[in-house]
Amino acid sequence: MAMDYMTDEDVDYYGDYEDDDMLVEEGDATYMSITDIFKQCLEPTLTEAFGQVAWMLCACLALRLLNHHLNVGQRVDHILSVCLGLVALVSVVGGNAIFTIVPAVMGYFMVSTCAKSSGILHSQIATIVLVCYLVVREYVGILPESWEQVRGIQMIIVMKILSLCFDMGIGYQTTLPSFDQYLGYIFCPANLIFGPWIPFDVYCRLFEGQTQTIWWVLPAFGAAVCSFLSLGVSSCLLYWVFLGTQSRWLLTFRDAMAVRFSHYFISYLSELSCLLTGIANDSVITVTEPWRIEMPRSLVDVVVCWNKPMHRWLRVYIFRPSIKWGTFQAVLWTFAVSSMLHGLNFGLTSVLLSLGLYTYVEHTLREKLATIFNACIRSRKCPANCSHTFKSDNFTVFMINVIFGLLAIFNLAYLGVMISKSHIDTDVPPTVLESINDDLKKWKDLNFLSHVVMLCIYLASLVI
Amino acid sequence: MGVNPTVSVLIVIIGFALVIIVGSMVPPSSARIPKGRGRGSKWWGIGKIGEPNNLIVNSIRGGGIGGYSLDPPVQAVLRKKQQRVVKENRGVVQAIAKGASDAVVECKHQFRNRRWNCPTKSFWNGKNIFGKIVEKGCRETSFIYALTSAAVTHAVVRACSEGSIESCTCDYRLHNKYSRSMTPDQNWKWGSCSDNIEFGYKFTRDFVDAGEKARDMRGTMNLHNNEAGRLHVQTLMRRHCKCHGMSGSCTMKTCWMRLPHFREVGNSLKDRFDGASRVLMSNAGSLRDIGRGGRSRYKFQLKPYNPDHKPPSKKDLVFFEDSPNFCMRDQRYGVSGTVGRACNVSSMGVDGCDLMCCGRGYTVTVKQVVERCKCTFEWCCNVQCKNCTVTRTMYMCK
Repeated sequence: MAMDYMTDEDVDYYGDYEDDDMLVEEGDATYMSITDIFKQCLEPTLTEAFGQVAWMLCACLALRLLNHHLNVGQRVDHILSVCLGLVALVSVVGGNAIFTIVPAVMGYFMVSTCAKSSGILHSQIATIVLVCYLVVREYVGILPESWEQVRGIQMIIVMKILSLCFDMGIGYQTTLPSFDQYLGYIFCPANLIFGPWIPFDVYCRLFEGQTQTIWWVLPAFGAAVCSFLSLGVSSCLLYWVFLGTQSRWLLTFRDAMAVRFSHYFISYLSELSCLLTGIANDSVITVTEPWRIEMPRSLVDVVVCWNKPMHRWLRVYIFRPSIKWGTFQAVLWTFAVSSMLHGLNFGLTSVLLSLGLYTYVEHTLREKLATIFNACIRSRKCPANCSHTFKSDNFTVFMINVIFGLLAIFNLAYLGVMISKSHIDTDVPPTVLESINDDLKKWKDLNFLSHVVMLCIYLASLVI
Repeated sequence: MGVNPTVSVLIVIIGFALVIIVGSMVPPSSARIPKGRGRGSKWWGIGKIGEPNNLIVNSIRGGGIGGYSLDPPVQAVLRKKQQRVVKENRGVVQAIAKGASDAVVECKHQFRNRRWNCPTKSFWNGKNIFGKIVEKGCRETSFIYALTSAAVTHAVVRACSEGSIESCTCDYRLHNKYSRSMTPDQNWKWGSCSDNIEFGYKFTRDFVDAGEKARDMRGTMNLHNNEAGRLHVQTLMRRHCKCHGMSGSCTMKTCWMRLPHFREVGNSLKDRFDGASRVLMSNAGSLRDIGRGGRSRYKFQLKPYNPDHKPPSKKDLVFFEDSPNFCMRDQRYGVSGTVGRACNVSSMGVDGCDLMCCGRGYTVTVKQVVERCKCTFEWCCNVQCKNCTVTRTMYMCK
């Protein structure tokens, strides 16, 4: 009979079906309900995340309790801090912890060198050496996924070492800390893994035995809630909200927002770990202000609020010491150090570079407009007693600021998508060139629209 | 104990003799078209029992753990072993019922444009809902087995994550047991509810394969296809991961497994249907010696009918008999033929009138149909439509 299964005899179909079933299209999740999201995503994600950081949080709490109730002298406290820090580190990154120990120990020699001479020359050299070390490590001698895991940790360590160097160069810190003090600072479980950077003296004050009430529990609880809420939004809820969305720009916005909320998660988590350890100084540990990023006044505001301790560090230790070379050079130098701290990784560097240019364009334009209209529409909020005729409570001024805010939101979506990672595991890590290509494609798909818009705005601001 | 040793020796000898006699009476499996197939597949009917969920819910709520009994209609379609595993896993019946009806829907969807369009009957008047076609070890049968097995796996995994099966609890310990089928990834810890697939897989093995024995060709075929169905669900599970860390680094990673939409599983199985492997009947003989029970039951390698072809992989569907052509009514296989089926005149594929009507030609009917058209949206929130008369041409097989 000529009853034919179309594909029957001629095609060797066996080979065709072996491996192709690993391909999948993104965005096929149109059927998921909120219960699906909760059961399949939220619950496992939150439990898993908590499982990963539980030891770290315990280590922080243990340091606090031992510190307050054991009263064993500062030396033991520092050693405790190192030990608990290492416990936390191993619990989060496992064997990769080994990569952080060598630079941390080597850093002490740098710090002691800086201590021997006054002036900041040695510190500047240390800066160059350490950021170069980070860049080299990004590309040489370590598996990409291992490096991805410890990169942030190395960054924090380098920042701590450099801040010590500069503190001693400037004379803010007069004596070289002892080795155990130094290691305690570097490996303090409160900020070893997720930051934030804290100054050395804040760490030292931790062990000065100030009396504390039980009320630290409240902000800690708040930080924990904010942290895991952000994680839920970032990993699951956003995907549910934008289910079935086809529009490229909405998807871009979603991915960028997921990146931002992942950042809030980490930021609040680091705040939580600081609070648990007993570092309660708000100005030191407030890492981020989500509402000022989600509803920004300007990109400058976003840059400032994104990671406040990092911003402070860059300002105090990189920008200020180099201001004598001229403002523009100092800005350039700050930008270079910042992107090298991030490993000169293509995606991050291009985002930082774009941010630098954007903020410059935004700043000049708004500065000019503010002068012309005599209104409070500059990038940063005007002080209450400013000399402008039209204050922020004026409706038109408010609307103009909102429009600039919308522009910032648009730019943030565009920039953020560069940092967002693909959601499906791939087996083969891409080569450097491939990943640059992949990264560039994200912007190419959006026709470099944001860059074009900002260029136009820049040209317009020249004309004004 | 007080049993006479001679008696026990005698019993053993008689037992052996009986085994030998019975064994020799069974015709060689290659010459036999198995009768009464579907003993192990009667459970398909669960999906069709009246208002199944209500009945089953009531029956489950009714009994405590000790006095837990199945509803008679459910009990009637399950084998002893199936009843046992169902009783051991409270709450699983609904999942099986859901799986069975999902399978029917999906089968009808996948085959809506083919000569065999997956007809089903109401369950009580036949051995199983898919009809007599499953008595033949043909391509369609292989699909039905794989699809139903996949559907139960799918439904059970889902029920697991929803927490409606008592014995399947999320295991929040971190472990990497399932690297067998997932990408092994030692660097990252993951665990939690994602592992429900393992429960679903094991349960389906116990439940769906309960009636099958690898002793004859047909049993082997069913086991293979059931396993293929489960594997499809397992490999279509997607791990979604997300990185968290300072400035875009990946200090920690959270992952979750997403169960595929059952349509994805259906599509994937339909692909395998198109490329199903015909295997040799002689496969059966070589399987006899292989031990039964446990995992070894699944350790067989089927030989392809065409020696030039590669042997079928674990995810391929296998069959060993020709399909009927489904053109004309055939009582033997419960085939109703394609007379009166609608066909697509412009298609060259299986839904085209040439193939669908088996060369008998087709009738053209022109119908005036009234449809809603030119719909406009009025603020807010009304949709205004006009009635248009459209001429539709229908093609039907003679």
